[in-house]
Amino acid sequence: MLELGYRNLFFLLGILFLFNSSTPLHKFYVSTTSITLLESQNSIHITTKIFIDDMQNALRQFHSSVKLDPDSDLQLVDSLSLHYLNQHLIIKQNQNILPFDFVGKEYDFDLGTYHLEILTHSLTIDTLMITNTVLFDLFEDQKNIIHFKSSNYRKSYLLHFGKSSVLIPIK
Amino acid sequence: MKQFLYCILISFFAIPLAYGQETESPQREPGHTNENKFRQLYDEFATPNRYRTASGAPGVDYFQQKVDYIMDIELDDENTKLYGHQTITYTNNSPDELPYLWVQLDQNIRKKDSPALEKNGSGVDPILTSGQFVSTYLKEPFDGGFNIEYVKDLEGNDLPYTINMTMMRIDLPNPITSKGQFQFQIKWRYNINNHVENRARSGYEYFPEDNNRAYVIAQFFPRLCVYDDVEGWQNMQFWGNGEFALQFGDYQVNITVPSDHILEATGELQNPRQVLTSKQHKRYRDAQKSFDQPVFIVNEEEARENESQVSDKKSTWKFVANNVRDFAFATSRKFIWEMQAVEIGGNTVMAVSLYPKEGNPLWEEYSTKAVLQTLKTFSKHTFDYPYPKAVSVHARNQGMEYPMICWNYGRPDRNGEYSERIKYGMISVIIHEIGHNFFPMIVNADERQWGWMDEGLDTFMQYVTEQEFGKVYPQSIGDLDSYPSRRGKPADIVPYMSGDQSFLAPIMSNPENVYQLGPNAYGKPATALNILRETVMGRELFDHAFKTYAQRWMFKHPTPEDFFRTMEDASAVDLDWFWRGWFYTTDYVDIGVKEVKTYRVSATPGQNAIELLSNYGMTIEDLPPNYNIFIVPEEDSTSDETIPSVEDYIQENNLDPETLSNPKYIYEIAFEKPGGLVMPLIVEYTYEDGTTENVTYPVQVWRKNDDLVYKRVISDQAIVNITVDPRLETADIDPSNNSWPKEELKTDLERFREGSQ
Repeated sequence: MLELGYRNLFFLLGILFLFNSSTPLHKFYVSTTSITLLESQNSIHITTKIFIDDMQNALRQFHSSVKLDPDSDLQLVDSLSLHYLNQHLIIKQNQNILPFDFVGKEYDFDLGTYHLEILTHSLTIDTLMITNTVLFDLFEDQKNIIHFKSSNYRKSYLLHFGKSSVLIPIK
Repeated sequence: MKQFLYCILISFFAIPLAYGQETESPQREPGHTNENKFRQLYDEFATPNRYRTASGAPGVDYFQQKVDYIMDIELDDENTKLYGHQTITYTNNSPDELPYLWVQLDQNIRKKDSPALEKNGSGVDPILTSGQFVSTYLKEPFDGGFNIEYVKDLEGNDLPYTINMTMMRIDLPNPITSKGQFQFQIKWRYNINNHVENRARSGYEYFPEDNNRAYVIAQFFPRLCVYDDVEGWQNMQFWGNGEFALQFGDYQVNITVPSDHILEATGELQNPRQVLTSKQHKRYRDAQKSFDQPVFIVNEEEARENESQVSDKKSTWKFVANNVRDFAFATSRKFIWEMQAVEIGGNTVMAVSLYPKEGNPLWEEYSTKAVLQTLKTFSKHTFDYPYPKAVSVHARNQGMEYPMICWNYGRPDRNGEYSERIKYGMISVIIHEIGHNFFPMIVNADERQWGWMDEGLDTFMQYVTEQEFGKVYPQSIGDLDSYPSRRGKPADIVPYMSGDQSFLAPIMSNPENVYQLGPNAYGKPATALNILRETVMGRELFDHAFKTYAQRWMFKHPTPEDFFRTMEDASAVDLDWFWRGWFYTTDYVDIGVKEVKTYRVSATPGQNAIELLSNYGMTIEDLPPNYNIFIVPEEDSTSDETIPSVEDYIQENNLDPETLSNPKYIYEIAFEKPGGLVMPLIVEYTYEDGTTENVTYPVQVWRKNDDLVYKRVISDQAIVNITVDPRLETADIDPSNNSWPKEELKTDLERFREGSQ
């Protein structure tokens, strides 16, 4: 069998309701996000890779006719993408959310790559709280991999429905 | 003394860091067992025996059971119910007496009270859409599962049976003796589920526009469990992820459906004249001789007409399938039906596609082509496809395989438009599912226990086939260099293998118990085999061994050891280290350059020689006179000196200076291995003049030191760059240590910025 994650029943009802064209499957429900702390530049680089079809389904919750690759409306897709990522990828220092800029996106076959950047005045961080609930609203089986890197620390995490946040010690 | 010194000097380069590092331990260290990564797999492997040999082939006492089915099936389209009666002939080829038989009732996973519904944890979401709320809190579960009307012997006597979830034990009046046979019958019915709603491997899709259904029906009849020398009865419950273990046998199946349905199934159609119109029948016969293009038995226009009306008559389609492990069928009045003949090893095989109009224009363009290429490529690498046909059926969201027939996704939108990713997804899934005819339909591994044995091997062959598809149909890949395979390339498995270890499982794990079945059973084993073929063994040795495995186990039931042993047996490549690392652990590849030291040849001793001797209480003067050449660190040397004693030696021994190299630079390179996997050490050296040299040190360099190995390189010009794994062949998870001089790695975002400027 082609491995098909078991989607939530509620998602399927929702999605059938939303649109009736195709929902082709890729093989597993996973996104990959690399987060790199660049201390010398006071910046955090975030690159998140999400299957295009999944992202399209996610954005259609806000705008039912939107299409990706090629985008039906470039500005709309970019702003919806940023809106969605703002809701579902949250990076906190202490209790404060660090807002990110949308640097750009790329499409490669079935994979969308979204580049985000956090710029701060000074990066004096002891811990970062990363919450990634990307696509948890659509797929029960969704897993989000985080690859974190700083000058002296490197670790990978896997976030899923029951555990959507991780506290990363920096120092 | 002289001998002693000689030893020191010899070992100077061989074990460079050995001296000066030995500190006496105050306490005696405890002993240990063999932890060497190259130790043989005696602990993990089953002991070879008369059923399965040490070379990985079936042994003299190898046996497998045979189960033959005669079935009458009827579809109630209006009420979406399926009815069946089957007569089973069980032949016990084992040496054992069997007091009972185990039968699989896979449909029971959809019973209202199925424990499989509760196999995962569940939480309470604070926020829901109304649709989510209805399905989570209000909706009744589907009323699925088998209703077993009776189990009787052929005389009509009831046989006692016990159902435990998805398994049914039938108690026999007398044990079936070895080589004995037993015949019995089962009558059953069940409610057919909507497979689009609950992600099942079979069921129907409903098309509200024309009020029709397209059925893809599988796991639809009680099927005998495997009884073998490895598991006894393989009656592990069906929980949803671990697929199927099935016996070979012969099938005669009569399927009654509305007479306006078009139906395809496992096996050869016995009564085409009865179930087809005379026009369809003529096309059906023409197709058997059409080797250059498909013949449409039902074209789109006719399918549109069929779906617009409903017949109240019924037709019975009769099929015979020999030596298959399962049976499945697809039926609907919506189907377009095309087929093309292809010659495989002297046999004519029909490549068939069956799809509703919703699949066009994609399906008429690519489905049959993908079927043809799969049969050709797989046959070349395994054995000639032995069945008379291979059918690709379009079903929404599906990707599921059965003997001679499979269901595949890939649907354009309502306007007939589709993206490139839908196109490639569709071609790839067809190649994958048609490929499953070879693994596990013919090389019949136990999927319930080892998902990777069919998924991994099939995904590996899928990669090989996709690459060939791109070459045979270049217009299908547009301006790409090669077919965009999603799995197979080493770099593509890195995000998985570098992930959080607490969510990784070895390949040798049961499919129910892994966190990420996709990479676990499909991506990683496929990549491992690709690395074996391209980097570790080479294509010639790999392809011969892989083919040997397929041919040894064609129409038989192999275990993982049978595969591992055959790959070594047929190639003389010791692969225990590879199987151990890649299949039995979650270790990853990380190899890098730790340090590079440059030396020159000199007639005067360097600080390193002086220090070495002083450790033994000696000075240069203590050396015998013939020890007169020194390898000194670059910073200590005076450049380009000629060494008189070497010149003399060359003259005295009549050596031709033309044949001798010029050891102007001597490098000692320390390669480190933070990763747990051992792999061949692939290095590219770039020299001053821009030339490069690629060297692959055998994997055995790691056998005595798993962390660090030194290599000496002698050159007449300076090395300016050293790169480990320059062509990304090994799935090295951390490229930051792969280069010397060390390169500051850019983030993806920085690369994106540079690319878009």
